[in-house]
Amino acid sequence: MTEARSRAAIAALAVAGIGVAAYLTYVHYADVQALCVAGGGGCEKVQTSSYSELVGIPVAVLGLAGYVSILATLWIRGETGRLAGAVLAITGFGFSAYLTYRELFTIDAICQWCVVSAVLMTLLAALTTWRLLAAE
Amino acid sequence: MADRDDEQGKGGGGPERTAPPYEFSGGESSGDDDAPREGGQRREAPEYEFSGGESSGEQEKDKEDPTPETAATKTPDGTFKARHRSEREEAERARKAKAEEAEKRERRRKRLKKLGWALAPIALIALIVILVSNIDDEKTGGEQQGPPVGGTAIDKRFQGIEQDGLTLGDPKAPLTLVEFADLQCPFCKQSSDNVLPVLVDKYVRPGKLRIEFRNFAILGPDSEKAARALEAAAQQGRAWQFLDLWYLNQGEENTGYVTDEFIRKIARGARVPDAEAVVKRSNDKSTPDTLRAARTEANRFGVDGTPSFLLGKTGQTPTILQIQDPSDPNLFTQAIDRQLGGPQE
Repeated sequence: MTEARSRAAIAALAVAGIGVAAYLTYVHYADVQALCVAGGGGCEKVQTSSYSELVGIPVAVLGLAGYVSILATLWIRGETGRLAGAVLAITGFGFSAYLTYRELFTIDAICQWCVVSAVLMTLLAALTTWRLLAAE
Repeated sequence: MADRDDEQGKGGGGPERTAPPYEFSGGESSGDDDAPREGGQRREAPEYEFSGGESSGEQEKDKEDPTPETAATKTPDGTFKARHRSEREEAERARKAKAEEAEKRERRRKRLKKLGWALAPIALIALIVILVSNIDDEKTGGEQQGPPVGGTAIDKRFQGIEQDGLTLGDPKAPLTLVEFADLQCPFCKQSSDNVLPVLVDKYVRPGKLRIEFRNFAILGPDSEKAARALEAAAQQGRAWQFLDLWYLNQGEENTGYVTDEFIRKIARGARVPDAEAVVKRSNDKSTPDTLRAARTEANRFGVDGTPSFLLGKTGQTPTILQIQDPSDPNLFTQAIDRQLGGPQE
C-alpha cells in the first residue's frame, strides 16, 4: 500500500469515526435514545451508565476529539505527523478495548454504535502504525 | 571452445575475443557460460561465472571471493577488466541493498522505540484516570457494579432513630415533613443525597422533626415495582435504609435497571432481614397500600410531581412546602427553623 493510499484509508476511517462519535455526542446531550438495530436496549443502557463519562467528560466527546485529531495528523508533514497519528490511534484503541470490556463484563450490555467505533479505532491503530513503520 | 582454451593457455585472449563480458575464467580454471546449456560438456565448474544482472546470495558470495580479483589483476587483458568491473558493480549493488535493508530495520526499530516512549506516559495517565474514576464511582454509587455502596454509612445515619413503616423519627417530634417521592426519580435522589443527611442530623435525631415518606410511584412499571419492594422493606423496619441506599445506587429511570438482582442487592445492603421477601413482593403485581394511600393524599393536596413536600405541626394538617431547589438543604432548614421558632443548634 502506498503512502497516498494509506493516508486516504486513514482519512476515510477517521471521517466515519467522527460520524459515529458525533451522533453519540448528540444522543448524550439531547437526551434522546440512540437508534439501535433489532431494538437492542444496549445502546441506552450503555449510554446512560456511569461509564458513559470519564472524569465528567462524555466518552462520545472524547471519541470525537480523538477521531478529529487523528484526521488532523494527516496534514502534519513528516514523521511527526505519522507518529502523532499512531500514538492517538493506539491510545484510542486501548480506550475502546477498556470500554468494550466494561460493556461486556460490568454493564452487561452492548452498544452497537460503540462496537462500530471500536472496530474503526482498531483499523486506524493498525493502519497508522503500519504507515509509521513502513515510511521511507 | 578449444580455441578459447588455447587462448587461455597462451595467457589470455586478444582484443578480438568475443566471449560474453559476464564470463570469467580464472587462471586455474577455464569455463564457458554456454557449456551448461549445451548439455554439460564443460570440463570444470565455472567457479566465478556470473549470469547477467541478477544475483543470488551464492553469487554475491562468489563476488566477494578474492580469487577472481587476483586472477583478473594478473591478467593484463582489457576484457577481464571489464568483467571484473561488472562484477564489482554487482557486489557494490548487493552491498548497498544490504546496507539499505539494515538501515530500514534500524529506522523501524527507532520508530518503534519512539512510539513506545510516546505511549508509555499516556498508558500511565490512562491507568491513573481509570483507577480514580472507579474510586469515584464507588463513592457516588455507580450503577450496575458490585454490591451496593454506602451500606455502612447509611447504617450509621439511621442508627438509634425510630422507624415505623415509612415514617422516620420520634412520633412526639413537634414538626412533620411529608415527602412524596418516586424511587426512580432523579430529583428525589438529589434531595435524598444532599438534604436528608442534614435533616436527620439536625432535626430528626434530636427529636424535633419526623419525616413521612409517601411511596408515590409515578414514573411507570419500574417505579411501581420499586414501590412494592420499598413497602416490603418498610414492613421489616428498614424502609429508610432501603430507600436511601436505593437513591445512592439509582440508575437512569426506566432503563430496566430495576431488576430482581438490583432489588436483592439493595435489600441486602440495607440489611433488610428477609431480602428475598422484598424481591418476592416486588414481583407481586398487587398495588401496595402505601402507594394507594400516597395517591389519595397527593390528590387531596394537589401534588402531581416528585419530589413534593408538606410541612406542618405533628398531628395537624400540613401545608405544601414550596422549595425551588429540592437538593438545597438550606431551603429546608430555613423553612423548618421558621416553624420551630428560630434557628436550631
